Amino acid sequence: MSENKKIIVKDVNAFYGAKQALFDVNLHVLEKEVTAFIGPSGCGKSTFLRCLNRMNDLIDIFSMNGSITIDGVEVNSPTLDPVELRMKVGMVFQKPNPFPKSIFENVAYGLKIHGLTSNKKELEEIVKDCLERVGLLDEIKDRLHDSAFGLSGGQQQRLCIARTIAINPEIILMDEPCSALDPIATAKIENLIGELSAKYTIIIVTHSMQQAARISKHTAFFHLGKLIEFDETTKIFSNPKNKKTEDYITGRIG
Amino acid sequence: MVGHIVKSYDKDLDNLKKLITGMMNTNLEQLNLLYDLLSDFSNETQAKVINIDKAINDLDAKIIDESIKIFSLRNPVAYDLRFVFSASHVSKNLERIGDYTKATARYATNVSMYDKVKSSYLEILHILIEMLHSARTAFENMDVELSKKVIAMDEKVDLLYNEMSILLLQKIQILPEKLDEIRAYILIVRNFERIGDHIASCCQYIDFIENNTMIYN
Ligand SMILES: Nc1ncnc2c1ncn2[C@@H]1O[C@H](COP(=O)(O)OP(=O)(O)OP(=O)(O)O)[C@@H](O)[C@H]1O
Ligand SMILES: [Mg+2]
Repeated sequence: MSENKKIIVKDVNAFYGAKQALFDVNLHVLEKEVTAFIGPSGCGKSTFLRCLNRMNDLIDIFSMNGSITIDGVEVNSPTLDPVELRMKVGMVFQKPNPFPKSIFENVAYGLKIHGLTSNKKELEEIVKDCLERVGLLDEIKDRLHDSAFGLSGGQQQRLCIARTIAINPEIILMDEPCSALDPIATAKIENLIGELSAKYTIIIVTHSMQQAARISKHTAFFHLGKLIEFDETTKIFSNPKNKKTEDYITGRIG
Repeated sequence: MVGHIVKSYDKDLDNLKKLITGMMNTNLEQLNLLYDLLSDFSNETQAKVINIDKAINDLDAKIIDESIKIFSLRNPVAYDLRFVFSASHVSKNLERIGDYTKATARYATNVSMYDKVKSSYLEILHILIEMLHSARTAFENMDVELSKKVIAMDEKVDLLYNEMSILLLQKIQILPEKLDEIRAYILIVRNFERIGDHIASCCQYIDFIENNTMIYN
């Protein structure tokens, strides 16, 4: 296990128009580890997550200052191509959002458009390998060329994860990836996250304290746009330093 | 501390706390009866002390049930987790105190206490009652300072226990024909020492709940 700081965030402030959504956020994310972001609705978790792969660029009124580096490279540097950044920093959303294509094409798509392989056989191997790694291959191996919409919600979410890992990112951002899933599908995703963390740096936003406690090594608690506490997950859930953290995780403030 | 958003969670925790302090009251009642027994040696008092143990066991079972219910329904974390976890441990300590008190009552009528022994025993028992009384107040108010005072009082019990054991062992040599009786005295004072430890142990959980610190001695 490395203790390498993959992402370093310094004094980040973020705004939607005049409204400030993040205040002086400082934190680091360790390589090949799962880090959880928790906090009440509207506290800025998604905003912060989107800062990490510049998804907020797509929002006109958004602006930010401060510094975010990944492997020492400034994310907001004008010379950095956001498309390249998003290859390195993949994202899985709250609602499974497969493309209106076949299961196979969903995974193959990113590989093709990024020109990661032109060899048909190799493409097939990578797609199958990714589906295997998310535990989907056995379930759907006869339906590879059927529409992805025919999959259950949990299967669709694992497909989206397969699609994300297909282009071989280094970091995977997950914004409430289990909120639309049943306990079994959730358990499968949690298990998958555990396995993926051997290879990828993972940040997950979750509203389930138990989920954060189960799967993450470090936890960051946000409240009203501020990072209140960032520590080892076991410390956050057994003995948080900050009163606000304690009140939130024990269900005393929302 | 402010209440939970889910009000019934507060009720559950409050109920659990009341069960614990209620159990401590039952233990106190039993110890007070033992005090009477060591003064009057009546069979009736002895029966009462022994009977209360059943009520104590039932309370222990109830507290374990309630704790498990809260664990499964509320998934307590942080302060709440330490509180619910501690409740079952405190309850187990109180259950042991009930057993030792009962066992002591069983020996108590077979002995015709020497005055010296009797006054020392009443002195120790008096300290134990005071300790448990303060432990209950400390638990009610989550008063860490008071809980530490109770833990310190246990040292006095240990000291008296050591003195008594030495004295009693010497007595066996002088009065070998009284072996059985003296053996009963030794077992009684040994039980007192155990009761003191269990009360102190209950108090350690108060600091654990409040500050996440656990001092083992
Ligand atoms: N596109 C947007 N335009 C304007 N304001 C926005 C936009 N997106 C988010 N905000 C505001 O920024 C703040 C932080 O929102 P964000 O979505 O980051 O919260 P969150 O912690 O992810 O909440 P949730 O847990 O509900 O997903 C909120 O006050 C929100 O209303
Ligand atoms: Mg969000």
